[in-house]
This record gives sequence, C-alpha cells and structure tokens, in this order.
Amino acid sequence: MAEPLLDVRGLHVRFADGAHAVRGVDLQMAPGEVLGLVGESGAGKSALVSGVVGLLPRGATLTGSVRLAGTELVGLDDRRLAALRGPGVAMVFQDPLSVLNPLRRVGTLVAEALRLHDRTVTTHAVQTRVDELFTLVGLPAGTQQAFAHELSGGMRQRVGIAIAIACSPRLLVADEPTTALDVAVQVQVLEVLDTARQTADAGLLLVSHDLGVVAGWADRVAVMYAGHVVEQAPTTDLFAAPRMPYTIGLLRAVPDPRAARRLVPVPGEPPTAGWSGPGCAFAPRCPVAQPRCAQERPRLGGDQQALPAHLAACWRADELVGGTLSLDDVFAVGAPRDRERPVPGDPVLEICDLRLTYRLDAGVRRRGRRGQIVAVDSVWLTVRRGEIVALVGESGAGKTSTVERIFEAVPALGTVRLLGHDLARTGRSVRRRLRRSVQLVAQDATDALDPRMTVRATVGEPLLLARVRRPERHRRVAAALRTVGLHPTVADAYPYQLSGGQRRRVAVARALVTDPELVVLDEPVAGLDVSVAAGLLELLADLRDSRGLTALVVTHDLAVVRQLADRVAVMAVGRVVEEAPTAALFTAPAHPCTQALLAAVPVPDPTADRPRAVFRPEPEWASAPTGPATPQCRLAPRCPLFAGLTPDRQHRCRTEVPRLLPSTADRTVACHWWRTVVPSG
Amino acid sequence: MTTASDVRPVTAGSVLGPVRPSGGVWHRVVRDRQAWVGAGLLAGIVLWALVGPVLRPWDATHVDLTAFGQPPSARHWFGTNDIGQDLYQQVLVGLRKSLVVALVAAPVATALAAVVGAVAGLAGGWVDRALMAGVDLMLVVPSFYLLVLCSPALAKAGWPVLALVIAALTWMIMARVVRAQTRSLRDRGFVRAARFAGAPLGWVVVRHIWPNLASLLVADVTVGVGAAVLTEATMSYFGIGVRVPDVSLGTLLAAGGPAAATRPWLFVCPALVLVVAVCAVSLLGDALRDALDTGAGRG
Repeated sequence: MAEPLLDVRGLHVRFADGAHAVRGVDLQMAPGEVLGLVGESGAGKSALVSGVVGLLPRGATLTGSVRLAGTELVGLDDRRLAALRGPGVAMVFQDPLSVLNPLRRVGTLVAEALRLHDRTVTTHAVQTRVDELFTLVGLPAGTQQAFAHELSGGMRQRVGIAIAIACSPRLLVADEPTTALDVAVQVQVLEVLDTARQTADAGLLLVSHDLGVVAGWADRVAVMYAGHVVEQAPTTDLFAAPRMPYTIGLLRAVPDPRAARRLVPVPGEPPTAGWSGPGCAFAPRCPVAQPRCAQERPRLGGDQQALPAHLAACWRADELVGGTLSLDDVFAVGAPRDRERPVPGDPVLEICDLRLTYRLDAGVRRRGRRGQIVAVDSVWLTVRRGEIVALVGESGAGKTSTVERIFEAVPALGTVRLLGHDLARTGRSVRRRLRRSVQLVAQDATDALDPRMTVRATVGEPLLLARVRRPERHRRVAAALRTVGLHPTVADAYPYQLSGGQRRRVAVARALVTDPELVVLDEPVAGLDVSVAAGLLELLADLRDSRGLTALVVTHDLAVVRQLADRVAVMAVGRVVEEAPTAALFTAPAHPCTQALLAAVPVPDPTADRPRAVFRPEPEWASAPTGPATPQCRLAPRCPLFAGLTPDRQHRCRTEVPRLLPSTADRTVACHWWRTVVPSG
Repeated sequence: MTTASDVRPVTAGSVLGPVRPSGGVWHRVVRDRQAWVGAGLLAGIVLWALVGPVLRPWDATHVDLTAFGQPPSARHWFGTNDIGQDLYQQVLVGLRKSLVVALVAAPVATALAAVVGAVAGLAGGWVDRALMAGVDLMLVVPSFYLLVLCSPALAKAGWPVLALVIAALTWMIMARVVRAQTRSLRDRGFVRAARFAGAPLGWVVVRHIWPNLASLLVADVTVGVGAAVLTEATMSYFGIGVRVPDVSLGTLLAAGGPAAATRPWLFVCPALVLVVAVCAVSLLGDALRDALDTGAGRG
C-alpha cells in the first residue's frame, strides 16, 4: 500500500456511561478499496465508524489516531471536521427517513449538500450536478420534487447515496445501508452504492451484520468482537480459511440459501460493554481456549509479508494455518439431517381464493371514495400435517395480511379452513377451540411479551384461557421452556431480564405450550444476531424432526426458507405466483418473480455469483390506491420476462390475470409464459 | 403431535439461563424505604386524626370567650378563629372528614376512568364512540352548576354521596388519557397475541392493559387525593359539601384563605396538615408505582 486512504491506529471509543465500545483498533484502507466491517450487535462497529466520521454523541471520548489521506482527524474541532466531510468522508445511514429533512424536497437536499461545501458555486452548476447525481443513483428526474415520505425505502436510500457522493468524497462510510430493505431492493441499492463509489473513485467502508452482503461486495473484511478487530483478511481468504475461532463460529452459524446445512450456534453471549479482563474477550465462549487465552490478550498478527495481509488475533492462529488445528476442531458441524419429505397428512390449514381490500375513506360519510388498496388478491395455500410451508415474498406482497386472516374474524372474500372447518361458518365455541389449535409466533418478540408479566404467566396464558388447572399449567410451562432450551429459572423472569434470543424462545414456548396443530412463525429470526439466529433455526429444525411440527413460516429471508421448509409458496402483489417443494423451487425457479427473488439473495460465499437485480426497481402499486382492477398481470410493468416478449404475447399479460395452475407434478405457477426462455440482458 | 410433557428436551443451541429471579410486586414494595416512610406517615396522620382530640380539653364547637382570633399558644396549639373556636380541634375534625372523602373519591374516580377508558380504547367502534360521547358530554355540561341546583337534596346526604359526587366530577379527563394509552397498547404484540388466543375483552383489560398502565393509574390516585380535598373545599364553599357547623380541611382553608395575610395560622395550620397528608399518599404511591414498573427504565 502506498499511502493508505484511511489509517486508524490504536483507536478507543468510550461513551459517557462508561461503556468502552472500541478498544484499540488498527485498520487500514487503500484508496478505492471496499472494506467490509462485520460483527454482531454490541461489537463496536457503529461506535468505530462514528468515531471515524466524527459523529460520536456528546460525552463520548475518542483517543488514538484516525488519518484520512494523511490528515489527522482526532482532535480536530467541529468546524474543520465539517469542512472535511463531503469532499473527505461522507456517510450513508441505515435509516434515510430519519436523516432526510421531511420539509424539503429531496432535490433541494442534494443541492444543499453541494452548496455547503462550495459557497461560490452557481445555481446552474448545482442543478446540472444534481441532475447528474439523480441519474447516477437511478432516480427519475421527477423525484427531485418529491418529499422524503413520498418515496419508498429503496428510493430514499438512493437519495441518501446521492447526498453522500455529492462532493466526490475520498471515503464513503455506509452503516448497515440496506438492513431495512427487501432483498430485491437491497441488491439494487448496493449496486448503486458500488457504481457511485467507482464514479467518485472513493473507498467504501461497508458496515453490515449480513455476511452475504459482505461476501458479495467487499474486497477485504474486518471482523469485530467486543471492541477489537479480531480478524482482517481479503474476503476470499477469510471465508475460505478463517484463522480466529469467532470468525469460524460466525461463518458456520450462517444459513446458506443454496443448501440446507447444520448450523453451529456459538455458545454463550458476548461480553457486555463494561467488560474488562486481561485475556481474549472471546475466550469464555471459545471451544479451543487455553489457559493462556484468559490471561493475555492476543494481538492482531500474522503473515505481514503477504499483501494484503491476513491478520488474526488468536494465540492458536498458527495452528489453524499450519493445519494442526482444523476448523472442525473449533466448531464441529453436526451430521447433516437425513430427512425425507414427510408423507403429507390431512390438511390442517386450507386457504382458498382469499381476497382482501382496504377502503380508503375520504371522510366519515364518503366511504371508499378515494379508492381501495388490494392487499390480498387471490391466495391459495394448503398446509398439511407434519410439513413446514414457507410463505415468501417482498414486503407489501400481502404475507402478513394473509396470515392475520387465520387469526382474526375480519370480513374477507374466500375461505379459510382450519382442520376442515370453514372459519366463517363455524359457531363461536368451535371457533374458539379452533383458535387454540393455531398459535402465532410474532415477528417482534420484545413486543409480543407483556413487560408486566413473568415468563411463566406469558407462556401459561393460552393454557389459562383453556382453563387448564394450576399444577398442570406449571408443569406444561416448565416442559415447554425445556423444549425450547431455556433454563427453568427463566420462568420467574420478566422480559427485560432476557436477551433477544431468549425472548424469541419464550415466544416459541408460548406457541408450543398448547400443543397446537399448526404454528405460524412470522419472520422467526428477523433482527437476531447470526449466532442467536442459528440457535433458533436449529431448534425449529429439531422440533420439526422430533415432534413433527406443522408450521407456516412467513419470511422474506430465503436462507431461512431453505433451512426449514418442505414447501414454498412465493407471493407477489397479493397473489401466490408459484408453489413448489423447496429443493425444486431453489434449483429451478419457474416464475420470473421467483427467479428475481433468488437472484437477489446474498450468499455467504465470495466465490458464488454476486446477487443481481433482475426485477425492475420499486413496486409502485404498494401505496397507490387502485380503482376497479382491470384484468391483467399486475407484475407486468416490472417483469423482465414481459419486457422480452413479443407484442401479441404481451397483450395477453395485459388483458388476462394468470391463474395458479399445476405445471408439473408438485409445482404450480401463475404465469402465462413461464416456459418461454428469454435471453437475459 | 405428542403432548408437551413427554417430549425430550430439545437442546439446539445452548441451554439458556439461568436468570436471577426478581421478587413480586409486594416483595419490592416491602423492600422500598420510601414505601415505609409514606406508609408510616399516613398511618401516623390517621392515628392522630383519631386520637388527637383527646389530647386537648376542647371540642371543635366549643367557643372560648376569652380568646377570639388568637395566634397559636400553649392554650390553643393552632390558635383560635374569629369566634373563639379551637383550631386544633377543628383541623382534626376536618382532617377526618377530608381524608375519608378523598381516600374514597380519588380511587373511585380513577377506577371509573380505568374501566371506561380501557373498554372504549380496546373495543373501538360504536362502543368507543358512545363512551367517549358520554365523557365529552360530562366535560362540556357545567356540571358544577347543576350540582348547585341540586344542592338542597345533596345537603342532606352524608359523606359517601359527597365522595361519589366528587369522583363523578373528576374522572373524565383521565378516562380520555387511559383510552389514548389503551389504543396504543392495542396494537402491541402481546395484546394482539392475547386476542388471537381468544381472550375476551375483560381478560385483556385486567391482565394486560391495566398492569401496563399501573404507574399512570397510581399516579392519578395520588394526585386525585389532593385534588379531591380541594374540590370538596370548593363545593363546601358553594354550600354543597360540608356545611356549618360541620368542618373539613376544605372549609377551613376556604375560611382561612382571606385571612392568610393578617392571621396566618387560620390558613397555614390546615394547609400544612393537608400538605403532609398528600405527601404521605404520594410517597406511598410512588413506591407502589416503582414496584409495579417491571422493565421500563431498568435492565
């Protein structure tokens, strides 16, 4: 490396509450390089980047050295730091909505970023540059007049990127830029970010908890744990031959969308921010820790000759390199599950032609005058006893609306049959009994647990509702907690005393306690750290194999689907567009929408193809009210297949709604032309 | 599917825990020093109100012809009023009356607000509209003047009626607050989960809504006690509540107020007693609220 673009040495960040978030980090970035920064929550990623760009909250102290292209940033006053932002370093935030001023048009916001750093620039020059930037990030010129709330999440993040690169910064810092976005949109935004980086010839520090994103986009990766960088290497080296047990654990805990595999959850929990000790922070959780590990902290070291270097902070890194200690010695992967597809039992849940529209009222007395939103538009789905069915699709596809119909008696067209009973036609008492046979595990476990109730009361509530007597109730609650791998003392705890993973397990225990016929899991691992998610996915797979769990998994995460599901139904614009056994769907997706979804999934393997954006950007239908639906395929405007069709075939897409029809023995597809092969590009 | 009891433990991932258990609400109240101070103070005041009169030779209506409007002295600890009545004895009688009225009125008002607000917020639809229309009606109708019109009837009734009237006058604002809070709780996961599980409305209110509004409701009761004494004073001033020769802290304050500058003991003595009583209730309420608060602001 000639002069590094970014040179961080001995950086410490301490917060006002005493948390020591970053504990001596050394990090270098070459000009134009993409460095991925990964680690679980609390590892100090955000504190590190905030320190680098000078955005630490009041009361936080920063010591050490941060040099940007030779200029020392630590100790600069706010004014000089502000001057460096823009042309020097710029940031892309996780949530653009909270960053974009809601009262200004987004075009003005981009122009403002330009003017701030060059007061002499002419209005005409600014407008030319703004036009240029909007073209670069793939936003139509008309969006310059929009306000932030009028744009979708992906479009907002594009505006955020435009602002960040407005002054051609030397270094772009992106803190979880796509965490809040769908996979398809995520790919588009990452592509835009990469293009923008290349255009500005900037370095990119990409912070992410998603190893798939990092594998696809980063040249080098730094892994953080408890405030230290514990391993740093070129992406392919790191994924192929990790030299630090924590990295090994992380890589073996990530589900792979290409094939189901045994996941290895890292035992224990990371140290708290106030933790201090002489040894390696990971030693208490490390399966190959030696006495030395607890007494002396290993420095980040390794082969300094090879450039770029592969550095690891572990006393046993040399053994891992030399092969005397294999990866399996550290975290052994269990034997693969030999699981045959279950013989489909009786249908537990049947959803037939479910439709649901929301009326947009213009005042109390003018109901429906502003049109309607079609949330669910013909959904067919069957879940049979003993199988796990996944319902996937991007947000806004109608997954949640569909699932809520199973639990709520809200008027909708179509029928929902539970255990053969039509929910709309059964009496109250039967419906109550049926309800008990279906349990929901909500997405946000923190929200789903009453903060005023102990775990015992929460888990026992469905039993109490079923008038199960007290001793029996306590026995079953204890059994359910044991089943989900929780210690019995958890029963007396309140939710605030539990970690995120423990809360999620409590929510699962509550769902299992009544021995339901069907469990509905809404985004079972969303928002969980990699190793915690791995533990939960393994638990669910165990429940499936040992208890014959019947479940409907609602998710947008295809790696989760691959890991758990027997069958997959893909939803788009309120319809099920394809349904097939998991393996068949992943190897040969038929519907263009499924293909697009699969192409966009990040794979935690740098040697795999980088995810691609196949579908056209941005579903416009999501928020736009529609009048009476004209019969057509609502996916057509975004469909890559449609774009390559002959006009007479396109005519059919515009005038006829594709029905969900059996294509092969166990697959159904809703597309007129899915057999048509269109040359890609 | 098998039953939960005969299933082998699935130990995917780590067996999580153990967790340090925390005691129940009662346990935490008992451990709270503030609770003891509040409870002790309140008990002391109640005891004093009951046995205090025997410490002095006078009774509340006795007129001391040798002392008209005298400041506090060894003979009259709290001084005397214009017609020579012993203020110490009057304050004690007033304290008994006020405490009993306020300690009934404030919880009744809060309970009414909690029921109406929670049911309206949770049920929604026409139930909500009807209940809130009722609340609004009570807020806009000048109920106080209606009471003045009915005063001859009320005058004959005893303190329980007075307490209920005060509660009926003061619950509406809180009902609206409870409704607003309930509406935001209604969309929380645990409320939805309970409803999905088939829990009836009352179940959700009692087990989920009220516990989560406990600190709000407790605070309302403690504030309500002080406010009820003042409401009673206002009503007494207009001749609806306590009537001469009967006294309450309210009537004493009302009578002593104009003289606060010239003969301060007439105002200060009942006011101090009122402040101490309200403080005791507040301390106890605060401790109770902290004990009920599992989670928020901790961990």
